[in-house]
Amino acid sequence: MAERCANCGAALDGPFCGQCGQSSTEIRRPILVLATDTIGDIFVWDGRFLSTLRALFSRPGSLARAYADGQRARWTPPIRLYLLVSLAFFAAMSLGGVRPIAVYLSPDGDTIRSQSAGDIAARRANIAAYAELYAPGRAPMSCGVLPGPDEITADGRLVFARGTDIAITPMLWGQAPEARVIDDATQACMEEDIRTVGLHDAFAQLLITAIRDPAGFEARASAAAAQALVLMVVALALLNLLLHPRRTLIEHVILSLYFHALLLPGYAGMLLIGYLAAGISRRSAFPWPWRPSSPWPG
Amino acid sequence: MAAIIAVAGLIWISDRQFYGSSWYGALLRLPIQLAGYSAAITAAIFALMFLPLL
Repeated sequence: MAERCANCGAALDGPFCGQCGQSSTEIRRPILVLATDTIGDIFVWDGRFLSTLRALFSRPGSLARAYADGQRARWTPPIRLYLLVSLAFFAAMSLGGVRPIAVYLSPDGDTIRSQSAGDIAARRANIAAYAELYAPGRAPMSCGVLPGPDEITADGRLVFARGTDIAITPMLWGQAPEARVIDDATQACMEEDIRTVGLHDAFAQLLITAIRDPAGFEARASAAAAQALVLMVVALALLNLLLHPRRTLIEHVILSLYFHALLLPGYAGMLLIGYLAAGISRRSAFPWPWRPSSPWPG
Repeated sequence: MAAIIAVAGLIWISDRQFYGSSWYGALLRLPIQLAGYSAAITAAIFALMFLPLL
């Protein structure tokens, strides 16, 4: 009686099933054989992975074209490569202490707690100077308590103060800033400010949430960025479908997956070069590549 | 700026190599691709950030 495939039941004629491709090798093997086979599998796969990476960095479009035209056994499939690269990218960001989407609040908690009477006076003078430049009540950053003792509650928490520099920016190193308390009056003032510039109330809620709980906001926003990257694969494929309508959608998806598998390490490399070129210590939190203009002296 | 140039270069070379476009054909499509890609990533991030607020 002919041997049959354990997966699909087709008659076997060699070490692999002609129908489903499963190996006919028995999995219950001596541990030594199993270990050497596993190592062999890893190196075989690794060889393909490394050659795919080389092709990806040297000629990404040609690699995608070769895969779309049928060279499937030679290259790592685009979906696997994309998943591996994005996993490695976000793991590296996390291990390196980089916040993919970061809340920037200045001055920070340590500065506020250690500020002298002179610092407070300088900040207040700066807020007053700003207020003179604008119509009454319309100066930016005019919501919150005045810099000084009111900035710290009795139990040691920070209260949001006027003149605080706020930004939501990609890729900052270091810890999330300390949360600030926003009372009802400050919240109403911020909502009014956002409405005045013609933005939807949701933007005010976003900003207030970011200030009240920067760490939680960053965690949610970074998760959103990871999900957005997946959506971008679809978006680029659809964009290319519009520009090259005679090609099939799957071709555009293949190009988009390889494109994003290259984009992430490229972006990480550029960030690293930027940080190294700036010669800035990893421990310090700093606003790069984006640096907000501080409205207060120092 | 360097990041935008790098992405633009990558899109251009991918268009040339994958679709076999001429260099000027790929160049003509580049602004549309860049604008579309930027708009899509902005919309995706904002939409996903606003979702917990809704």
